[in-house]
Amino acid sequence: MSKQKNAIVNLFFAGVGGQGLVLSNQIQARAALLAGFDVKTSDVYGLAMRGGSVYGFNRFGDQVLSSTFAAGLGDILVALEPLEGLRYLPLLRAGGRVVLNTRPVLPSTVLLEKQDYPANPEQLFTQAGLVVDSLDAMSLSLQAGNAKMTNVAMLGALSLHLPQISVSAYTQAIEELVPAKLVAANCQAFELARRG
Amino acid sequence: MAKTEFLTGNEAIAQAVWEAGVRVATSYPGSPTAQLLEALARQEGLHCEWSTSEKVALEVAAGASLAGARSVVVMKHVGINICADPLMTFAYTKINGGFVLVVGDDPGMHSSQNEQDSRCWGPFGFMPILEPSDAATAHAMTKQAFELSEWYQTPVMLRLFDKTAHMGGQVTVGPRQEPAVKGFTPDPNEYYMVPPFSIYRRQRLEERMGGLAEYSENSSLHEEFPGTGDIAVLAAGHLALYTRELAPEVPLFRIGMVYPLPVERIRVFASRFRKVVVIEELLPFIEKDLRAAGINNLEGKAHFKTYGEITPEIIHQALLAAGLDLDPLPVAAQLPAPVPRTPMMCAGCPHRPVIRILKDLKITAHGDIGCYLMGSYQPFEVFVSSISMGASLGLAMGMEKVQAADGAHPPNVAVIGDSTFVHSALPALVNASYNGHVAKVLILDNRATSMTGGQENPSTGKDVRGGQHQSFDYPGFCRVAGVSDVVEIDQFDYDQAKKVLKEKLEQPDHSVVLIATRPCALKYKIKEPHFYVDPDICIGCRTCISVSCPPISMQQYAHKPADKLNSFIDENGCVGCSVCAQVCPVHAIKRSEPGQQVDVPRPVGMPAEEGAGS
Repeated sequence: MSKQKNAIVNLFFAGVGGQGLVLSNQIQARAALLAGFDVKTSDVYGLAMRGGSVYGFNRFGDQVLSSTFAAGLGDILVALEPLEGLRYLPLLRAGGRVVLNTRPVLPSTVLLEKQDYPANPEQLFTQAGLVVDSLDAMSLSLQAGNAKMTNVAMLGALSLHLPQISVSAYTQAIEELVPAKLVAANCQAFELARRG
Repeated sequence: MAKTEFLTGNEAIAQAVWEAGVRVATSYPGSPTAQLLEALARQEGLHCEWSTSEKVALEVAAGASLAGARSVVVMKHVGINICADPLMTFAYTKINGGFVLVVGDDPGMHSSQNEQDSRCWGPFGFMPILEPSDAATAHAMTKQAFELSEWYQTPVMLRLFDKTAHMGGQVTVGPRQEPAVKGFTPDPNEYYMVPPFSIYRRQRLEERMGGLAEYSENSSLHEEFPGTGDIAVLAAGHLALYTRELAPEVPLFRIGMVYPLPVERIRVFASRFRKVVVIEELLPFIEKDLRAAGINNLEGKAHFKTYGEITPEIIHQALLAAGLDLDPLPVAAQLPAPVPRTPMMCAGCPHRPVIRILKDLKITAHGDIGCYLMGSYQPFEVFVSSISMGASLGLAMGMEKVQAADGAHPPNVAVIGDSTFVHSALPALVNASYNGHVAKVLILDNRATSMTGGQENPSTGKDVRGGQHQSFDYPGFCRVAGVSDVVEIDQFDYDQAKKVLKEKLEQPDHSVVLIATRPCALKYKIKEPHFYVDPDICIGCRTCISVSCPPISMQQYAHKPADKLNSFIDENGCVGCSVCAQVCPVHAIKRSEPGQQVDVPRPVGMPAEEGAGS
């Protein structure tokens, strides 16, 4: 049992309602299934749709029982938004990796100037001993055609660290889960992020 | 050939409901089970509906069961309160077609007003309760639930959590069965729930529960996992999975049927160990039942709270405290608590101007269940109360009666959405007229049940599959209910809306229903040119910030004094509702021209406009 547990890859997605986090979690799950792994996921819904904090667990391996994992066991944190990444930083293991979208989405208390947004999120991750891959996923999404594909751009950056899942598995997952007319643009956002 | 699909708990149950040959499925949307009926409505061969309330949903599904067909009703935990009246007596009857109630509990209150424990309805209503662990067991248990319902002629409750409803996993799916509809044979003893018939049926429930207890003792819904050591664990649902991962060597009894419990089987299991740790969220339901049966080598709520969600970390800590020798969890990196993020009304949300006007008018507003409750958060903080579906009218009436007796006071206004109004405020409005209350009601008709994902409702008259039926006539109903002054307003015409609200709400001894008519910005996208701030006109007064819209922030501009901030609108977020521009006292916020680059300075550090906004 304990050996099998070590073979599981623990991913965590953090973001803001409206960024398409659930879809990116689904595409990641589908790609891992296509690569022959067992997968379990867990998402929050509900109130979180309204610009609140959202997250999703994604675990794949030979056999996965639980959809969640304890703090300190995460391998990669996919932060669709920097502050939300910081919020779930304790989930990562020592030396774990953060795939970080550098574009902030300011929470209401910051917009109202009652609280300050963290000055340098990237530095906070690095100080915590984590490896950070930063990208401006919004900019890549806009290059690919519109602002709504930051989630898929983030998967492109994530996929660089998951060589056990082929690019073609990701592409097929995107084709299966994204509306047909948006597949080409999403694949482009994915590819732009892979090129870095 | 068996086919495998990746499904959430909600989708897995929907698939199993379809496979079980269910003919009628009803629901009122609520997190965490809102997506279940939507998944089911994509299948053919059964009637699916968003009923107007859980009470109606339960009654429609019960009627289908009476007719001898399988049926299912789906709701969130507080929905059972709404349908408890028919449920508690329908449960007395001899259930004909298999009947399953799927309920989603919400420990931790991710999206609910309370965290009541639905297991209490089991002994209260003489119903068995099943709890799946993941999507695969949810699928299998759902099919089993229909069999159980028909074998024991009982309603069966299937209890989900936020975690199990939204947990994705692989499920082996099958074809649809078409069990014959049994038909209905009238029999007062079984279906006429008045004395003496109901007395007869009450006695039959003893046999039902006795049979179900025996079934639970022998059921494969429960599963034992062997291990080593003299401490074992007893858990249901996802918590059993957490435990297996954290402590694979520890003997585990996974409970599949949480009511009635397999007490004798657990007695034998527990007798093999020095102690058994009982892991359950919310009330000590299992622990109390077992202690009442004289099984006392248990440790349950000694280690766990009776509120909130149980996480793997909490289980790990509890198992260590109980004396188990587990590998320590890695030490997690600690950070000072990050800035919180509360939900915000979307850009273009039609509730924003209304909430802002209520704040300006300093009115005593009672909130209801819907997105407008975000008016409770900063910077609005306009609601003095929010309790449950449809409660705002009654609360406003009661408070008004007391405050009016004390003389001058601000009016009490009930603020309620289109779906919530139909769900449970209709009798309250009739009550207002009947008992001579001064009713001040503000209906926010955004033509969607938005908080749960924008489901259709009577406001549009569209059903769950998009079929068009009768839409609800809000003004007509209110007039028939006895309020003659019914005014529809366009809240995106801010000043005019404010004028009407002020006049109507402040008018003493005058009942009025105001209906705000702009639709949900998330479901019915606004596609207007985006607005922008001219920093050379902006005086930095922050009036626009006070409407709390996601794309508006205060920023530093290079050509302005270093100690002054001016506002900025992110063109990628603005949908062009114009509310900020209307409240700006100096007209610094302007509408962009489609296809033309906005020619004003950008804030420091802000990338050049990327052309996606308009």
